[in-house]
Amino acid sequence: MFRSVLIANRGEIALRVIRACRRLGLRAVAAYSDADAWAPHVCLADAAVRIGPPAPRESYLRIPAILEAARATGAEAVHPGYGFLAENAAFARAVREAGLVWVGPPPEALEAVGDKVNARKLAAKAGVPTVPGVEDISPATPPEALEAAARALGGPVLVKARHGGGGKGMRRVTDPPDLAHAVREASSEAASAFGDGAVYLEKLVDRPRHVEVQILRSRGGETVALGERECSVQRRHQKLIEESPSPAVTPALRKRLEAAAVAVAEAAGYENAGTVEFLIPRDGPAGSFYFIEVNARLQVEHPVTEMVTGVDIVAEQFRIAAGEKLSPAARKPARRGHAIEARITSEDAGAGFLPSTGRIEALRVPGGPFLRWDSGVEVGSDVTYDYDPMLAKLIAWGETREEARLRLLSGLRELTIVGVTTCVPFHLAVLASEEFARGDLDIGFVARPWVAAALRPTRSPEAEAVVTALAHARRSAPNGAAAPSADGRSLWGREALREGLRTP
Amino acid sequence: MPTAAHRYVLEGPEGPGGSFELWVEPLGDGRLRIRPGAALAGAPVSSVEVRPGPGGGALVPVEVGGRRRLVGFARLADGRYQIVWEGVPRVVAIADPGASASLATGPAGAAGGGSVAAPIPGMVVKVHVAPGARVTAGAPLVVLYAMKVENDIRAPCGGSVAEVRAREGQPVEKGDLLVRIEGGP
Repeated sequence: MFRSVLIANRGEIALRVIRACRRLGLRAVAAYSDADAWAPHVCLADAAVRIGPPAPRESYLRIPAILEAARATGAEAVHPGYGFLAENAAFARAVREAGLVWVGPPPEALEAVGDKVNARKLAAKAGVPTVPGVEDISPATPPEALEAAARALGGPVLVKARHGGGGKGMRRVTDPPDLAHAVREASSEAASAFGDGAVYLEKLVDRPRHVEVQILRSRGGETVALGERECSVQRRHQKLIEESPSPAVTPALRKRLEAAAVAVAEAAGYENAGTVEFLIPRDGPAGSFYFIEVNARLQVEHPVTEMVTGVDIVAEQFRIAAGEKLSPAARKPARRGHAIEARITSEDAGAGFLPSTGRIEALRVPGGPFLRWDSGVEVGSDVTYDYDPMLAKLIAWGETREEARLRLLSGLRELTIVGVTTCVPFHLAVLASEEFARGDLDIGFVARPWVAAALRPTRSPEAEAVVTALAHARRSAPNGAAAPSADGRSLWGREALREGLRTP
Repeated sequence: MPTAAHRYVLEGPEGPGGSFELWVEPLGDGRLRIRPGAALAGAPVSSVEVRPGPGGGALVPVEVGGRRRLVGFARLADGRYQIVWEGVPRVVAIADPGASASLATGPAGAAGGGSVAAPIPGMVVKVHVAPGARVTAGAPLVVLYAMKVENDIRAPCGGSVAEVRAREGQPVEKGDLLVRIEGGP
């Protein structure tokens, strides 16, 4: 095994990777932009290297700067985390060419699954059902041909970017005559976002569930599936709540989903940790599902799988990258209980998830058994517009789904983040809802009318009284000094008394 | 020596149009009574006692209505205050606390002090007080019929009634002066 790892990322995932390094006795090297000079990942790492200004293009996405940081610190491997360069085949290749170990899928596998049309073909060839679609289209396709293709698929269609993600370069089309326009738009959006304007058509699956299977595959070709996660609670293709197992997956369906995921991984020559995403149609025949794509990286929501299987997925990534076998725990993963994760973002859920910036003035993290807090911020951290608004993840485990749900709710009520507005009210509303408790989920969940109603800002006489009282108390005790204590004296007064500086 | 009360104007989640008053009256021992003044319909109508606990940080223990809670509290860069109460963050604008008047000592000005204004447009259906009357904080002054309900308009502070503008049967606009109270011995 290599002895030192450069982490080409920031925030909570950089901390997660540093912790895995600690567990394996590896030296962890952080990379940071000017915006992150004092960030928690910098302070936790064994060494840290500045890689550029705040803009990702000039720091976390700048391949030469990251390779130079690895060289300068003697790092032997590079872990990309998620996002930024994690699925960039050119980066994976550059890391290897620099004589370093790439902790991720080989560049060829990244290319094979990064092209979504190719991934669909691999899946189909492996006997895995894919969403009906038309792959050979482009903005140059005659409108009549596009219209005919849409009619052949029947019902609304989705135009998707062949090399895209995160909902960019995606268009929903209900009327076939509108398709030509949507294809042009999606293509130009994809070209500017991903440098490639190729698009394809998929039949729109009406309000499906999003279910994905976590896999690990060693260099020796040993593949394990670590069960599924349901990530249907999402907004604009950004997941907000994830859980494992899915309340909709029976043991028989799980077996088939896992077999399908393993088949896709094998067909793609995949290696390391990855996720195979599926849709479960709402009104389809029982047990039906469609492959949609492969996420060739560690995912944000990996902790729910770790909680129910007992497998440290990042540690397995290191093992696989070093050419070792999977650990005994990964080869025989546990399947115990249920885990739910809430992503804590600095977004004002009551104002249409408007991003909120500021300095974290206080942070109280909930405690108790089976709660996990993966955070990229601490007191003093500045939340800026430079990066993703995800601050942290709170994950709860329970013997049953209901136990996990109640534990997560309780943790969210304790969680106190001061200085920015967070989406916690969204989580409180959803997790307390009867629909979520029933497991009645689909990717249209967040758009259900009651959700918006529950998020509308409300008055709280208690909160108003408290904030006014505290504002008053602070104003009457200047310099942010202590509020008067129970005996009516300020802390300074009591201290002075004890020190004999003043008489009672 | 009468107690001085301090007036704060809070902006509701509806924005500046949803402003309402809260009065802070120190009770000694670090306890503060928070009383609604001219308020929106649906605003809190009962007063509550709040006692900030020790500590001057952004995470402070507070006793409110006899219950103790650890709350998040900070003044944000834009001057507004954030309160995190039982997991829910709220940002509240508290207008110009420096302008708060000490009711017991200062004369009540038309725009503040002991002026009790109509919080919403409506019809005055009952006037409980006459000039010269002594009132205690919370005493009913006027009943305002608005939004299909009778709303008790109460004294924000103790003192003597200096002026009564409200007339029974008379419609009033939001912000119209109803009663003026002056502190006194």
